[in-house]
Amino acid sequence: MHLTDKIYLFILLIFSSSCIKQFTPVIDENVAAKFVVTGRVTDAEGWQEVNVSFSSPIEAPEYIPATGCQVKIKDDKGNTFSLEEELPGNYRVWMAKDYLVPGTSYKLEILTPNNEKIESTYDRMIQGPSLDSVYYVLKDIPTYEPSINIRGAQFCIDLNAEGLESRYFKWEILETWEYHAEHKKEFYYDGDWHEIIPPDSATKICWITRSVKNIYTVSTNNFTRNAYKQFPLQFVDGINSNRFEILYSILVTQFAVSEGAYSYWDQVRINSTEQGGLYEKQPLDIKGNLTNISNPQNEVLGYFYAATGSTRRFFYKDIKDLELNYLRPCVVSVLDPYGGWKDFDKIEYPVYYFYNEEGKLRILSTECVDCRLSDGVTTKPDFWPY
Amino acid sequence: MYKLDRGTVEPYGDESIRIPVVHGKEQGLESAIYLSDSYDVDPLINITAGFRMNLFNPLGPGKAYSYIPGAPRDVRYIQDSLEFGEGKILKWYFEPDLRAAVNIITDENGTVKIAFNQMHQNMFVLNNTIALAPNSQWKLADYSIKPARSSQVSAGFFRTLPKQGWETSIEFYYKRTVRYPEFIDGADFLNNPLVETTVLPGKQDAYGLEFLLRRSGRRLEGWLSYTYARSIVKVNGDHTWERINNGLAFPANYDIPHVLNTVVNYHFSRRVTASGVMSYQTGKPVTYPVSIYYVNEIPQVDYSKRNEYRIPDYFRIDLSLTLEGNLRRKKLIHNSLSLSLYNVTGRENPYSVYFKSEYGIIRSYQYSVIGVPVFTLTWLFKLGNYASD
Repeated sequence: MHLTDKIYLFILLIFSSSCIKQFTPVIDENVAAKFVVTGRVTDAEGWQEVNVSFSSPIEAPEYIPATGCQVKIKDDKGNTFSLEEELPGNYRVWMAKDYLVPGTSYKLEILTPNNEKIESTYDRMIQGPSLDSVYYVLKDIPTYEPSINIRGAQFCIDLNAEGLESRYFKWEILETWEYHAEHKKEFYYDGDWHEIIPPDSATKICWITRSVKNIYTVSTNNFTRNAYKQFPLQFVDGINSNRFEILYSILVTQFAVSEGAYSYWDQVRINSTEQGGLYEKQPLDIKGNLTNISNPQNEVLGYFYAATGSTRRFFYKDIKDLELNYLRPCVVSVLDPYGGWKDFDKIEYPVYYFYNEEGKLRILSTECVDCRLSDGVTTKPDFWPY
Repeated sequence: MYKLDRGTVEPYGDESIRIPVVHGKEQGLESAIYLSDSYDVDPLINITAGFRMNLFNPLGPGKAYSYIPGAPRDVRYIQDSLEFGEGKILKWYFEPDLRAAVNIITDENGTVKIAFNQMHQNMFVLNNTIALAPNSQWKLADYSIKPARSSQVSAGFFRTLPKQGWETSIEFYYKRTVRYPEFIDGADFLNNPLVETTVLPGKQDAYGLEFLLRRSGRRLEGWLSYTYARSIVKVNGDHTWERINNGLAFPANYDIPHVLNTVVNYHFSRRVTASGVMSYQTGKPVTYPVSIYYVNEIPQVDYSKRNEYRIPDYFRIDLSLTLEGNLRRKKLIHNSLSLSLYNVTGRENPYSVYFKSEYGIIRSYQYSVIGVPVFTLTWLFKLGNYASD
């Protein structure tokens, strides 16, 4: 046996006696069920919302609403607003414009069913600029395969807060897009053959509305100009979604926030579990601005803040030089020449089909005629332009 | 001359969706002039003093970024970029070090040593784990990251008791390091090649004592060493983004307060010796995920404060019995047989603890090496007799 073989054998022996096993960290029980409070007051007249929940153990993550709390928003002018529980853990109050004046500071007070009192610090509402333009630039981003890039639209915003006090900003985006099923319902088989006259297009056109989960924050603190050109928002490519197929819209809200709120949301942005694995990042203990007055040793997670907002909607279609090559859910197949229609179980009924340009019968998966199966709804949003 | 290849993070296997990240190469030149003198104040007191002038130059090729002063050091706030060609100097770091030591001979069996040392460190290991791991990074001081500076005072007392065969020493030290780079909270060390955006300069206070008691030349001999060592880091800048752990002090990754090692040998005769080794150390600091919560329907991991917890302590006992061959003076080969039992208690000492997100649930694992008793038999040959080296 060569020396190197002996070394390998020795290393093998060492590691054969090493082991990886599950490990249960000894964690103080109190830290696994903390109060979590998120909410804000904006300068837009309307419902101001606060969410109260509990954190859950890492081995059994779930959203646990905290119900039955008495929640109040107070301002530094002596006004108090009591919130009502609309849904479990969700509290809200309608506030008139007169009470939502930039320069005013707001705090949150919560009394839990166990008579624990939770308070936030005051957060001042700072006047921010109106939202400027949102546009896109085409961008190629690298993939795991060095020779392959994915092209998409990088949405960007220009910020101009010259002459204003606000230095910290946060953006939220609600996106809506229209997409179509590839066929109308015209022919189907359910043990018998049917033709719908005229063809049914009720489930051909759908819309999806989703909030963009990414968090966008920026600070212009110490910039020579209180402005930022081409701040990147979300990236949408033509490979992974059908957003640009018909018409794509984003509702962008720009918030001017305090330094404390900016830092909190910037940390939430960094801590997002979607970015990298646990082993690749330095863990981040996000500090909020809420305290359990009754038991100060019990940490409260979350943040309550005040913000001024400016909202605009944008529409985009026919993105030039962007190839749309996403995976379509519609599957077209040939009727089995041996089994024929008998191949279909009753549970698969109705089986839709159509005749192609050559006049040949083709079977359609249900996704081909019902766009709702791709998570959309057939109700057109009020703001849709046509 | 330092040359570092900081490596490339590459996808592992065909199914990996990781995008390769090149961390690049670095080089730097360290130069120094050292002057020192030694002066005997008295036959029993000696003073040594020195001055070292350090120069460190990070060298190109490379690209350096400058950031808007006062803003977070982040790609969003890059003000300018500078390209440096091969061998071009990125920065000049002139750093003076002062050193002084006093050695006092108290009597024929005792000495006292007092010392003050300043040091500069141009290369770092950036680490977030409790053990060296693939994400540990070597890093040179560069355009943005300055060399760390340390000042240390120490005092040691040494004494021998020759009649009883004992020697003992105790040393105390305190070290303050400034500008030591620590990973910021949330730093992404694999996907972000701009290290200056993932670290902040911290202040590190290290202090402790080292005690040694040794007995030799007796039937029962051995040594016992105990170290109490703390290493506490604080990064508390003016702005919230210039803080780590919300500005609160936290134990450094290698803060191990208690280390106790003993070796005991008992010579039954010149041919038979029994030995025992005991090793204990406090578990290393670790940051645990403690709960999950939801912000705007997005799950967030709630971590403990930086290094708030510790992995289980390390403890191990080894035993051995050595049988020497005959003690004849004139012979070609001497042999000995040694029977050893490693890790007698079979304790699974964790080498590291790590966390994985599996199907949305975070699970924790411990990795231990040789977590079982291991028996070994060693037959040793050497040229010469028992006493030959």
